[in-house]
Formats: sequence, structure tokens, C-alpha cells
Amino acid sequence: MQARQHGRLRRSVGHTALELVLPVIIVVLYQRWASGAKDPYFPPIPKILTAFKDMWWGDGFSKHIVPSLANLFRGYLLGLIGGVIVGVALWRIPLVRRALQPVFSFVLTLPPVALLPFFIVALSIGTTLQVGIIVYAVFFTIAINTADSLRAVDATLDDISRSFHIHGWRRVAQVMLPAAAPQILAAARSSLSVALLVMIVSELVGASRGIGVATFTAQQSFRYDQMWAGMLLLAVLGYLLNWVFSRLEAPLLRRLGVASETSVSDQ
Amino acid sequence: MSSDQPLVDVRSVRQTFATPQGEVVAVDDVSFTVQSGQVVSIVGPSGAGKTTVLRAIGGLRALTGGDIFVDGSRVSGPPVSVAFVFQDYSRSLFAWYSVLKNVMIPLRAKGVGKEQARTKALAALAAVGLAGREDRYPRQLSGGMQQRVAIARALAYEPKLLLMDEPFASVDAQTRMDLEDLVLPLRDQFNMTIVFVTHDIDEAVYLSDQVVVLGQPPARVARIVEVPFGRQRSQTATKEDPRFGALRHEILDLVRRPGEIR
Repeated sequence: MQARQHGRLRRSVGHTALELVLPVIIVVLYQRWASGAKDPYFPPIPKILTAFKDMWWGDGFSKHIVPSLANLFRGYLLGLIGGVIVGVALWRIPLVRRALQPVFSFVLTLPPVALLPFFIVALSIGTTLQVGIIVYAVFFTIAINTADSLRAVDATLDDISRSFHIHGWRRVAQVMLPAAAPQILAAARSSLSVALLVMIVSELVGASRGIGVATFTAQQSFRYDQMWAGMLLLAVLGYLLNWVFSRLEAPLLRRLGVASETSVSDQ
Repeated sequence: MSSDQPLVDVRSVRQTFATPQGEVVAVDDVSFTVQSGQVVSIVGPSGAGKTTVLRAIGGLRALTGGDIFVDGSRVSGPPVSVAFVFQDYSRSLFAWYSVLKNVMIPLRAKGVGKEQARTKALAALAAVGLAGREDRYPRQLSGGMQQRVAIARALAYEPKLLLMDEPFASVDAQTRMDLEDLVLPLRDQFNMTIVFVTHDIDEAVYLSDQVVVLGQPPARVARIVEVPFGRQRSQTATKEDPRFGALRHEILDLVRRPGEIR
């Protein structure tokens, strides 16, 4: 038991080390090259780290990171909840499906970033724009995926619902949505990175505060150390968001009976 | 309702399916009745439409022709007096709910209060030998126990008619016998009539008062075989009874050499 745990620990440490090999090589090579080249576009790493601290600690945190993340979460949650609700309607009400599905599928092919000019006109510049375009980016993906995964739920569960007269909200909330949840969660995860992308791009127009604004301004004012610090922050944020998501997702999937768990046989 | 009126009355049921190759007749003119309190099995060659007939009785499929009456009324959707147990417990149970909640949900949907639903669910779980396991999740139980949960869910619903579609086909032979012997006494304890589909002739004879044998597709009733063993059955004594072998023989002949009976 003890030995097995040790083995597992060693293996997981080994895996982590292996995952770190490539990033470390890249960082080391970059640093060696940048400190020699003295290229203003590619500042050495200590300089980037100093800029990172100056930019994002203290004032920068409340001025830029907080509003960006607030928009991100507001937009993401609105899009997610709205998407699931409309997705259920698409699945449940044939009339809604016939009316909306083609339009939704079409809209889904339009990248939200390409529609930025339209959003500027429709929502005018400001927080509404930042949040609105994130909602847009998340909503349609979730709605279509929710409807699709509800349609793909095992027919046996449909038979169960019908023969036991489980109708209405009970059927949706207690039978169908839990059964479809793994696919909906997968869509939610991929929309999260799209939401992050759209958050940054939308800040490039008209926003006065935000991670994207600060990064873009740095580039425009030839502060390449700060520009790199901005990109570093985005990388860290992307990683952290993904990590948080999987921390929330894993227990949920286990609860839904999807993730493997040691099955007990005692008969 | 007079007591001699059958609980289930299947009259000239016909079922066709549209396929790309055209219309396929799955069930052609099937009629039989089931008296209250009986255990009746439907057997037949593969593809004979056994499950189709069962689903039609359960109101899960509209008929192409004929009528089915359950408890005196014509079936046009799932009747409230019917509960279903499906073959594949891994697909029919709610993996995201505890065993107790799996059994409670149909009751709550029926409008039974929370406390009463809980009491009934616990009683049903105890009846199938799952007392003390109500807080487990289906995946934490063996296959046989999961099927017991599915049976408990049907029992708690207090149906007059329990329909089971190959209920023991997904478990090992030993567990299968355990489940067979579990179900028979439940009929009296819960005052039910049972109709089930099986491809196992031994199981059909062992459990049933009456075996409805379907012929080669498109299915008609080849014969209705009465089983004379009474209510007490035993895996050893019943199966060693010479009449058991004779019935088994008779039904196997019907299922395997249908050419002679048509």
C-alpha cells in the first residue's frame, strides 16, 4: 500500500517534470538569446517580470484585472445560463427549433470578433459592449450544444420518463439535463477560452480599463516589456481559468456517474 | 369491473415499421389475455417482436392495428397502473441520484409527498434486499443489485401490472436465479400481475403461469402454453419435474421449428 502510493507519487512527479521540460527549454533559450541580442522588441525575462509586477500588482490589479475579469464572468455566466435555457427550448419545443435552429447554426459560423463593428454600433462602446460580445460568443455555442446533447440522450431514459409519467420540469431537471451534462460541460469549457479571447479583443476598441487595454497601450507606446507582461498575464489567466474549471468539473462529473470510480461488487 | 375480466387484453395487434427498404411487419395479428395476478411470459425467436408487443402494452408505442386494454381501458399512452423494468440497468437508472432517489423520483412525479415517497421507496428497497444501501449510487453496486434497484423503482410505483423486458438478461447465471426467485413472491406481496419478455425458455417456464409463444416474424401467437406448477416454485424441484422438461421441449420446438406450425 505504502509502496504503491510512493510509486504513484513518483510517477506523478515524473509526469509533471516531463511536462515542464519543453517550457523550461523555451524560457532558457529565449533568455540566452534575448540577453545577447539586445533587441527592444524582445526584452530579457527579468525585465518582463519587473514590468509584470509593476503593471499588475496593486493599482494595476484593481484598475485593469478586476474590470476585465468582472466582464468575463458576467458575460460567461449570462451566456451559459441563457444558452442552457434556450437550448432546452430548442430541444423541447419543435416550433422554437424550426424557427431558431437554422439561424443559430448560421450565427455559430460567424466569429464574434468579426462582428465587433456591429456590436460597437448596436451596444455602443462601454461595459455593455464588453459583456455583450462575451455573452454572444458563449450563448450560441451553449444553446446549440445543449439542444444537441439533449437529443442524443439514451432513448431508454425517454422510455423511463414516459412510462413513469415524469414530465415537465422534473423530466428536464432530474432526467435529461443530468444525462446531457457531460457534453454541455465540454462545450462550456471550450467556450471559456473563447470568452477570454473575446474579452481581450473587445477591449482593444473603446475600453479605458482592462487587461487588453493595458497590453495594447503598452505596445503602442513602445513599452515592449509591459506588452510582454500583458501577454504573460493572459497566459497565466488562461491556465488558471482552465484549472479552476476542471476543479469544478471533476466532482460534478463524478456525481453524474460519468467519471470512472472504483466500482464495488459485493454480491 | 368483474373479476373475470382480464387485466390485459391484447386484440389483433399489428405493428409495422417504416424502413428504407419499405414497410416491415414486425407483429402481425397477436392476441392474448392476461388474468389478474398471473405471471405471463412472451417468448419467441429473435426478431419476433416480443419487445414490440410488451412496449405496446406499456403504451410506449402507438399500434398500427388492433387494440390493447389494460385494467378495462384502451391503451393510448403509458397507463398509470403500469410500471416498467428494462433490460439494461446501466441505461435505465439515474446514475446521478442515490438508490433511494432513483426509487423516489417516479413517486414524487406522481404527486406522492416527500415523506410518504421516502417510506414507500425504503419499503420497496427492503423488499428487493437492498435495505441499508439506499444512500449508495448505482455505480457503487453490482449489476444484479442495480437491477434490483430498477425492480424496486417499479414496485414502489405500486403498479397493477409490472412489465419487464428481458429483465435478467444482463446479469450472470447465479444472480439471474437469485433475481428470478426474488420476483415471484413479490407478485403476491405487491399484488401485481407480471408480463415479461425473455429469450430463455427455462426462465419462461420456471416463472410463468402462462407462456405466450410467438412464431417466426411477422409474429403471430404460435401457441399459449399453460404452466401447471402453482405458485411455489423451486430452482431444483420445479426444474426436475418431468412436466418441466416436457413443456420446455414443447416450447423449444415451437420457437425453433416454426415452419411446422404455420
